[in-house]
Formats: sequence, structure tokens, C-alpha cells
Amino acid sequence: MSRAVASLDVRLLLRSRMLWPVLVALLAAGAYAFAGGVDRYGERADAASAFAAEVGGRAGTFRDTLAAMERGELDGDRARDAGLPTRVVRAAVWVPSPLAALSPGQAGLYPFFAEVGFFGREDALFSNYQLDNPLALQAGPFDLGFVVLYLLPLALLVLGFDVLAGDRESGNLRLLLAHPVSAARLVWTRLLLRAALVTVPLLALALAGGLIVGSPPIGLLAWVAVASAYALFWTALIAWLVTWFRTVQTTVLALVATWALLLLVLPSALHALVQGLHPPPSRVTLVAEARAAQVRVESAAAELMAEYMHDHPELANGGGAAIAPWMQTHHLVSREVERELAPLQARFRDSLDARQRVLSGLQFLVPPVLAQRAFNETAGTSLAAWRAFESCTFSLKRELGEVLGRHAIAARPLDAATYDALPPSLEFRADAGRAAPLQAGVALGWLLLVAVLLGGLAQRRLARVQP
Amino acid sequence: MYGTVVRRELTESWREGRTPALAALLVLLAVAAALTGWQQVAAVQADRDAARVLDRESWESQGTRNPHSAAHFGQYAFRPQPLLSVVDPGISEFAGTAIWLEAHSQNVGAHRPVEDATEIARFGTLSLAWVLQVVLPLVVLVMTATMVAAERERGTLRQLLATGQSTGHLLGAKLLAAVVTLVLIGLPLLALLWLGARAFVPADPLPDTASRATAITLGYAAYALVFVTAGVAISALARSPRGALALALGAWVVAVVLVPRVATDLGERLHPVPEANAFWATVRADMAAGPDGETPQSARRAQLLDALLDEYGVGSEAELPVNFAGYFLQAEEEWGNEVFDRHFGELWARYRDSERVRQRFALLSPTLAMSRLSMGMAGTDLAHQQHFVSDAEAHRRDIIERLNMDMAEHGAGQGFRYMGDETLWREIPDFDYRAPTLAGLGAGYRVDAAVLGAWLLVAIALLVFAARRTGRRD
Repeated sequence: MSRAVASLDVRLLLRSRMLWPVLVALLAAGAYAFAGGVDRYGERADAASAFAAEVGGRAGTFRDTLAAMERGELDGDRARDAGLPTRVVRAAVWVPSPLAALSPGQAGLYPFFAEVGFFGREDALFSNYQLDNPLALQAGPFDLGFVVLYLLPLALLVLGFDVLAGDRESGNLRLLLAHPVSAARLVWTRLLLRAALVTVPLLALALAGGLIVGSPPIGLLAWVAVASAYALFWTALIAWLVTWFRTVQTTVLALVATWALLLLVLPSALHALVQGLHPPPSRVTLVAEARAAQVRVESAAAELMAEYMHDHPELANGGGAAIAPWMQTHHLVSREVERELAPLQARFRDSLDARQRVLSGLQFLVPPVLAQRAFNETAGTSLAAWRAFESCTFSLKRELGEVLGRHAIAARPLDAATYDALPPSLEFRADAGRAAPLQAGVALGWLLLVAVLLGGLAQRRLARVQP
Repeated sequence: MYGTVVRRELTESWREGRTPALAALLVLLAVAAALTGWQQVAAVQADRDAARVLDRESWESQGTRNPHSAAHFGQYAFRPQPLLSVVDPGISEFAGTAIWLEAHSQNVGAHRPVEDATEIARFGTLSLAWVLQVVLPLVVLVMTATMVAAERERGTLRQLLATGQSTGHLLGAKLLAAVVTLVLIGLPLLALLWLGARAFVPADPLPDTASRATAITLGYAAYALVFVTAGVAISALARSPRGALALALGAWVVAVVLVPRVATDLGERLHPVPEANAFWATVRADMAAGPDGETPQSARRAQLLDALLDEYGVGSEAELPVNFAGYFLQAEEEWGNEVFDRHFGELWARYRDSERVRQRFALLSPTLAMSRLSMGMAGTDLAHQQHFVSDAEAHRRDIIERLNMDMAEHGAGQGFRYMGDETLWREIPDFDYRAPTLAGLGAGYRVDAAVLGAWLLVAIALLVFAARRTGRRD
């Protein structure tokens, strides 16, 4: 008999005025979001490869000139300029994962390329990249992650608000429970059916889209698994909430209030709390301190140079390269300024680490935040991914700087063997790390656990439901 | 009779418990947002003032060096934080807070605060504007959506109308009751906000904060009134409290949450900004090509030298009574400025086009009109950011010209060996930003105010329609 009730419910649902508009709207939003994500991913991937190719071209020309000089084919200015350490360039590029088409995360916020070479300090490696429209950044992208996080629960609420109270108000519940079917079975059948009807097509779209753009299968499956667990969490939450209210009116109110609380109020409050507990240091102070340090160190450049030469007498003879005196001291000045700024920079890192730690603990209280972070980690577009890219770029700069700096100080041109031993350009791929599966696994496990707990609580209350 | 209905409505709504709970939630969020805002504005202003002083010290103590070297060291323009950003931080978190003003380059604003925040910032930040634009409509709709529908369901609506009261009066009384509730919640908050602002925030870069604050208060009052009126109208039109609530909440989700996000995304997709590397590559290529598109820098140098030699009637650069290097640097700056004006002009045009898309969507969502009006009045929108960037750029051009011309006029025959000292650095002014007045920004905000006014008229028309229909039906 319960099968008959379920079958009747399916027929009623398929004929309801709500289902198709909700399903079509959700899928249209998903398709629009995915198309936008593919555009953004494509533009970024193209820009990254164009930048790497352009810098690679210049590096190749430098290497060819070096070879020509060693073969004795150059003379005059060309021979004098060949091998200048100040002309060595490398590209550092954060290559996006195709999964960024689903969740661009923080990728749109941070720079994804830098030219690394002799000049510039670490704190100025990434500059003049902030061209994005601030209004668009403020609103955030309309991506598939947004559709899953915000709109999928809304669709579940719209289709699921009257699974119990509707029949109770109309008096049908008494009739239905007169059949050999429990309220629990009735509610679960209805809710799971509705959840499947909206979640499966949306996630099929994500899966198909992800495969089309060439996403790594494991990452894509992890993304879809987290999204499925998130949908299950909301289904269980709705099942539990509908048991508390006798009228449709209060049920609707409670569901929308919960949605607003979990997706609007709690994340904002959590952000304010995290920032309040560990406020970020002042960037304008850092800028002013960096400039003061630069003036101080530049005024002592001659002493720095003398001290360095005292420690490195092997560089004293000079190599005859055409390097201006300020360029010779540039490396030492930059290194000294970086050393002076290191404690300030460390405060930024420590403050962000502290905030991330607080967030990592509190994210379990706000499932949408947990899911969002898992999406970003899986797609290689998280804050951690950016920091890893930034750190790799700084390492490349330091490694290059040591060799190029010594050659500049000694006014000694590079030879082909030294050049070939320099670190190559950086192609950073965030999805190769271990953080992604960990965060996805944690999110998946927690969302399923909370879903089971809520489901259990709902089951207990449903067992006591009276018509 | 009118007063009796209002009193009864107020008493019932407070006794029922929903209104006090919603009011407490609203007040709690608003107070938390205001405290966060105060703390942030005060900290940013203090940091900025200290950084300005330190930067000036660095500028003046750079020692003896060539003025062009000093031009590369440059100055920094730090964006001020208006007092009203306590109410609406607008795009402050997402726009650059400091611009490096140096020779040869119009740099973009750097150090966006959001880059130092965790990922959770993308969910939205807690601010008074967010509470007023997003949470307040929800609270208002929940308070009002069942006002009439519940009376109808209980059968008390007919009794009320049977006393001879018109439906218009009845709905008006319910509307008044909701407005009184909001005023009772809002007035202490407003007073608290102003007292706090006066006590904790030392200075304000905006010259007309009082008139802006008045405009922002009136704007939010009108915005709240739109939702109060629409909520009562929906309640009167719906057949049941269930239907009224579903309709009101659906309208909130669409108008307040979805449409603003879709409109912004669509604006960005229709008017995308160029990727940074491509943007700068084009700028560099244009600068290298020269004004006619085919004269490289070496040829431009030769042309300018010839012109100067003719002007002074001498035969070589060494015989010139001026420093040619300074003249050439300034000529290249002026050409560069033209290139920057073109490319940054296009960039800002794209931002504005994208914003215009949002503005059109305000016909579907009063939140968009209110958001733009609120940011504008608070001095934290795109127009104010553009004003700051333009002012900083004008200052950059001024100081670079002063340094180049000092070299040109005083360093004859010395080329880049000419040195400036503390006397020259002291003559170069510091960046002293004067924020614009509302009058100075043109009529842009009047459109948003008009759209908000139109929304209010639509809501009133809906209420009148609902009153007539209720009169016929009940």
C-alpha cells in the first residue's frame, strides 16, 4: 500500500505547478553559470599560456644570444650586452585547473602570473593586476558553485515545504495515515524524490560540463560528491524542520529563515568574527615602512657593497659586463629591504594563518562555508592555492636572485652553462596538491554525518507524528 | 477608530512574539555591523594618517639624487575612508587603497583589503548597508505578509469591515502600525550610530557628510517603506496567510538575493575588462609606437633635440642652455599621459557600462537602486573611487612635471648627473585629496532616487489596488 501512496505522490508531483518551473529555472541558472565559468576559465588559461610563451620567447632569445657569443659570432654592443644578468627573465604562471570553470573561487581575485628576474623586490613581484571591476568582485561570480550552494537548497525548500504541513492543514494526513504507511516513510519518500529530481539533473550538468572541459576525473568526482552530500544535508535538514511546525505558514517561514541564516547571516557574522579575532595588519603601514626602509638602505648602499665584497673577494676583479653601478648594488639593497620588512610580512602571514585556523574550526558550524571551501580546494582556486603559488614564485625569485645578484655585483656576464643551471620558469598547478582531497574528504564526511544526524532526529520526531 | 486599529495591531504583533524576535535579530545584526564598521574606519584612518606622515618623511629624506630617480621613487596616494563607510563600505574592500605615483606609469590601486581576508569574505561582509538592504526587507515582509491574510482566515476581517471602516482605512492602519514598529526600532539605532560616529571617528574626508547622511536616511526610509507597503498589499491580495508568506518570501529571494547577483554578473559578461597582461602590453606597444603610430622613441628623441637646437640656435646638445634629458623625459611623460588617458578611459567606461546594466535591472529590484544610492551617498562607490584615482593621477603628473622641469631648467650640460636635494623635495607638494561634493558628481544619483521613488509609487498603487479588491471580495 505504501508503494501506492508513493506512486500517487509521484504523479501529483509531476503534475504540480511548482516542479517544472523550479527545475527549468535551476537548470537554466546552472547552464548560464557553467557557460560563464567556461568563458572565464578559457580566458584565464589563454592569458596564462600567452604570458608564458611571451616570456619564454624572450628567455629563448637570451639563450640564443649567449650561444652566439660563445661561438664568437657577436661583436660590439651585442657582444657587450650578451649574458647580462639583468636581462634574465622567467615566467611564474598559475595554470588553472579545468575545474575552475565550476568554481572560480579566489582565482579571480589574485594575480596568476609574474615576470621573475633580476629586478624588483618580493613585495612588488605582483603589481598592476588589479584591473577587475570592483562591483563584480563585490557581488562575486555567478558560478556553478553558487548555484549549488544557494539555489539548490532554495529549490529543495520550494518543493519540500509542504510535505507534511500541507496534508496536515488540508486534513489529508489523517486519511493517508489510515493506510499502512508511516508518516516517516511518507515524508522521506517525498523529500528524497524531490531532492533526486532537482539534484541529479544539476549534478549531471556539472559532471558532463566538467568532463567536456577536461577536468581531472578524481577532482570532478570529489566536487560532485561534495555537492551531493550538501544536497543530502539540506534534505535531512528540511525533513527535521518540517516536523516542528504544524502549519504551512510557519514551516515556510522557518525554512526560509534557516536558508537566510545559513547562507547570508552566519557566513557574514563568521567573517566579522574571524576578522575581529585576528585583524589583518595595515597594508598602508607596510607600504610606508617599505619606502622608509628603501631610503635608509639606499643611503647605505656603498657600505653594503663594501661589506659584501669583503666577504666575497672572489667577485672583486670585475667581469667587464656593462652594468650601471646602481644595478650592481640593486640586489644587495633589495635583499636588505626584504630582510627589514620580513617581520612585517611575517605578521601578515601569521595573521592570515590564525584566521584560517579559526575558520577551519568554525566552518563545521556553517555547512555552506565548508562546502564552498571544499569546492575551491578541489578546483585549485582556494586561498591556500594562491598562497602556495605566491610562495613558489618567491622561491624562484630568491634562487634566481642569488645567482644573478652575484654576477651583477661582479659585473660578470653569464655563460651558457651557468644560464642552463638556473631554475626554469614556474608552471604552478594547484590541483596536484594533497590539500584538495583532504578538504573534500573532510567536507564530504562532515556533511554526510550531519545529514545522518539530522535524518535520525527527523526520524524520531516523525515516528511520533499525529495527524 | 483608525488609532484603535493601529494600537491593536501593535499590541497583537508584540504579544505574538514574532515581531520582538525579528526586531531583536535586526538590532543585534545592526549593532554588530555598526561596531565592526566603526572599528574598521577608525583603524584605517589612523593607519592612513600615520602612513602619510612616514611617506612624507621618506620623500624628504631621500638625500641627494637625480630628480628623475626621485620621480621613480615617487609618492603614494592613500585612499581616505569616509565616515559614512560605517554605514556602507561599498566597494572599499574590493578596490585599491593605495596608488604608487611614479614616473612613466599610471599604476592601478593596489592593496585591496579583500586580498587579506579569508575565503568566507566572498559570502558577503557584515555591514549596516547589508543589514538594511538584505535583512531588513526579509524582516519587514515576514512582519507584514500575514497582517491581513491572517485576519481573513480567522474571519475577523469581515468583523472589522462590518464596523463601517473602509478597506483603505484598514490597510492604511496596518501599514501605519508596521511603520511605527520600524521607527521604534530604527530611531534608537540611528541615534546610536550618530553618537558613535561623532565619538569614535576623528575626521571625515567628505565635505558634505550631513547632507549625504540625510539622503541616505531618507533613501533607506523609502526602501523600507517599499517593502512594508508591498508586504501589506501582498497580505491583502493573497487568499491565505500561507500564500501571502510564500509570495512575499519568493519576492524577497528574487528581488534582494538573485536579481542583484545576476545583474552584476551579466554586466560583467557584457562589458568584460581586459586581462591585466594584455592591457599593459597594449599600453606599452602604444607608448613605444609614438603619437603617429610609427615613430620609435629614438626618432622622437632626435626630433625633439632638433627642435630645441633650432629654438636656441646652437649646434649640439652640449651647447644647449637647458638640460635636454629633462625636456625629453617630460615630452615622453606627456605622450604617455595621452596613452594612459585613452586606455584607462576605456577601462572606466567598461566599469560604468557594466554598472549601467545593474542600473537597468533596478527596474526588477529596488535593492539595486538602493545599493547604488547608498554607496554613492557613503562615498564608497565607483564614481568616488574614480574621482580619487583621477585626483591621484593629476597629482602624479604635476609632481613628475615639476621634477622633470627642475632638471631641464637647472641642469644644463649635466644630463642625469644633475642632482636635486632636500630643498627640491620640500617644494614638491604632498597628495592632499579633496573628496567631491554630491553636487560635483552630477545627476547620476537622481536616477537611482527616482527609481526608488517609482518603486514606492508602484507599491502604493499595489496597496490601493489590494484595498479595492479586498473591499469587493470581503
